[in-house]
Amino acid sequence: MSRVQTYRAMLAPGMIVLALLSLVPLTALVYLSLRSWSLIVPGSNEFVGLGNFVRMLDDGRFWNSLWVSIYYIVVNTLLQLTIGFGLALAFFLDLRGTRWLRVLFLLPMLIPPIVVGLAWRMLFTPSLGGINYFLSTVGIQGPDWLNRPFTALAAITVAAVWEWTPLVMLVLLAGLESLPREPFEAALIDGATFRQTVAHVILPLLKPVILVVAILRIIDSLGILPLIFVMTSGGPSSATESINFYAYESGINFLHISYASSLLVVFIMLMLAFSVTFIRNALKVRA
Amino acid sequence: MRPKPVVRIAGYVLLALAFVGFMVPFLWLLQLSLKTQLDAFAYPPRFIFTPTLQNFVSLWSESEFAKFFLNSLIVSTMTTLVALLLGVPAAYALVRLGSRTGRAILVWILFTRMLPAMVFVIPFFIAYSRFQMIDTLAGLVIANLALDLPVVIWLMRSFFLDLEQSLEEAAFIDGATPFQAFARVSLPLALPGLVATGIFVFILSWNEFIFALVLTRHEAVTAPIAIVNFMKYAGTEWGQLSAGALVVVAPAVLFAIFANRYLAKGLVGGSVKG
Repeated sequence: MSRVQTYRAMLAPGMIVLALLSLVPLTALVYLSLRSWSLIVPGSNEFVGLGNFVRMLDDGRFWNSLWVSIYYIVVNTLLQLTIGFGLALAFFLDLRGTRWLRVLFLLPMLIPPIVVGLAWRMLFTPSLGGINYFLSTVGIQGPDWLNRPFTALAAITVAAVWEWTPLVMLVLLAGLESLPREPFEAALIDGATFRQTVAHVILPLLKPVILVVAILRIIDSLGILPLIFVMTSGGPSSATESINFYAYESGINFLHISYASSLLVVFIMLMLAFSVTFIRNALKVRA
Repeated sequence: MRPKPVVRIAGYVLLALAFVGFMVPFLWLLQLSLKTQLDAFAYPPRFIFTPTLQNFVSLWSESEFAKFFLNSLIVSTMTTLVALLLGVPAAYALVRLGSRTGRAILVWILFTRMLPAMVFVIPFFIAYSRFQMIDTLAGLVIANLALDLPVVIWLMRSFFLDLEQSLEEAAFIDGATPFQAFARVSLPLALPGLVATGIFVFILSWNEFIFALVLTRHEAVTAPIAIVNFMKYAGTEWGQLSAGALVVVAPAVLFAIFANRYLAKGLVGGSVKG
């Protein structure tokens, strides 16, 4: 066999499975979104074109889920980036006795997300002590976090930031450590302060990496389904319900699979702009 | 950099704060798992109490947790093996072929990697219902494969790109077939990357939630879902719940301790150049 033939043969099994497991389901999703199938209504599988999408425009719950999703995307990502950058800098200083911390910080993103959700749910449950207990020691009366809309959103943000900041930190730290030495030495000779070094040397040089991480986190920010599921189930009254959680409720709990599919199609469309930017960037890094 | 003491102190403070913030959930789970029901609900929360291992014991003996833990083990191991088996040769071939179709495939892989699992759940749910694959371990493995095969291909691609082709060329000159060059030269060279990818996929499938939630009922339930069910049906058994949660966290912790170098490489791989 020629080289090319061997390579093609090595590629084939993986590609077949990939096509079966990703191309087919996604096509099915789009197909479903154009129909009116609801598993609890017999004979409801009819072609309705863009009917589901029109229905969505009038669906208050959809618009709510859109705002919640935007909240997650913006707030969670910004917090992760800021804290992650700060931590990456702190590790970059290579202070004595902090090496082992790096390993420890890997843990939040390695443990099952539902365990993250469970732990934080318990911490935010007043009757179990936790956050409210610590607040009370400084005289603050903590709210019933998970049962009020704004505090529930805050609680989920805390859990999401806890879970994903380590990833941001890891990537930014790797970026920092792969920066060339010369600019730092030049800054040192010029007598730059730490703040100046960060602002004029580190940030500009790190911009591509920061961008990549930002896009990655934006795209992934709605992947907190397990957190929402365990902590609030989308409540109270859909206050923490993102688009894909709404799709889960609609499709799996209420079995309106066509409507759920159309919700997900909208979600994919929304993420498309970011996905395209990321894909273009990612493919540029290597030939 | 030799920053001023002020900056160094700020660094220590930040790391210390982060350390505390990071440890709190773990410590909370730990202390809840070691408390009796009475102690767990005591308010103000008791920090000095007689620890008990009863929660861990009843977890293994009274519930079906052992079975669910085993399910997780089986599904994760099988997913990892199949994903590697299919993905590693494919990644290598993609790198060596480098054609236009190759690029299209890469774009597709990146695209699917970015889709949240929910997007696949509904079609899988319908297909599995039709073909009686709900609540099967094999079904779960296949579903996880949908998520993890792209990851394997993407990660191994970056590791194979790092390899020096000269050694392969030498093998060709010595009369090796392309596959032999792959198996005897490239693969051993890419072993660290392979290990990193394998560990990463294992953890991904171990932690996987939404497929396991939707596609299982009683027999194929994995450990994370067992915890969720437990939470729903025995909601106030916080002790056992915490104990179960800690047990489910165990593989990730073990891997982090013993393979953290590989893990960091796998997690960062593809995000940063070099």
